[in-house]
Amino acid sequence: MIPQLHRGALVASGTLVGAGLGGFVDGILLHQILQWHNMLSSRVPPVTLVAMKYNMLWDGLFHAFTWLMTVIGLALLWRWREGLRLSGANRTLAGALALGWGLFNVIEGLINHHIIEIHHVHPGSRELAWDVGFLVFGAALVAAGWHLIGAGRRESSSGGSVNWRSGSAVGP
Amino acid sequence: VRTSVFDERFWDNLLVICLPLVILGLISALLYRMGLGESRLGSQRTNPEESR
Repeated sequence: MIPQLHRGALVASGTLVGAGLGGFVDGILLHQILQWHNMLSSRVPPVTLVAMKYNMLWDGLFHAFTWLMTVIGLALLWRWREGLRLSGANRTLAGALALGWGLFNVIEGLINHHIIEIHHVHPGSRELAWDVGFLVFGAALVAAGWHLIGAGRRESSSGGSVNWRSGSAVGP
Repeated sequence: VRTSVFDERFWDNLLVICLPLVILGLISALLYRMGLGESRLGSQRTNPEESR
């Protein structure tokens, strides 16, 4: 049985995948490649081997949960894959991915960098600027994603060629 | 690993790590609900059988 198709399914699953991939960008680029911070580097600064291993475990758990979120998003996307045939679906999905990445940056940034302060993007004398930059980048992604989702909706409402409900092509 | 797991702040740390991801899941569910209304409009507009 094909589940009922609607834009919300694409946006929801795309947002989860985008948030998961955004988490991987954070973890891989900022934690591992650049080594600017670790998950709990403000609580337990990684200055000894034990402290580094401590942070490594929490980085691993962060990646595990991020992986889980990505898998759930992909599973939902697979379940509603017929929706990818809808008119405007490409823009909607691209917008949802950007929205998810941006939401990850904004929410993770607000909670972990500003409220609880378990780590900062780039600790040092200019850490506030880096933290705010991280939020601004996230907000820009949210705005771009929202704009793309809106463009996808307009594309579908201005002469789409695919039936929203069944996902089957109609017309010539 | 033992130091991390038996740390007295283990559950606190776990909650902190999970909290943003749980919020993102809730937002995703909200976006799913928000999209329900649009689908019905879309199906009416794009289905020629219904527009006749």
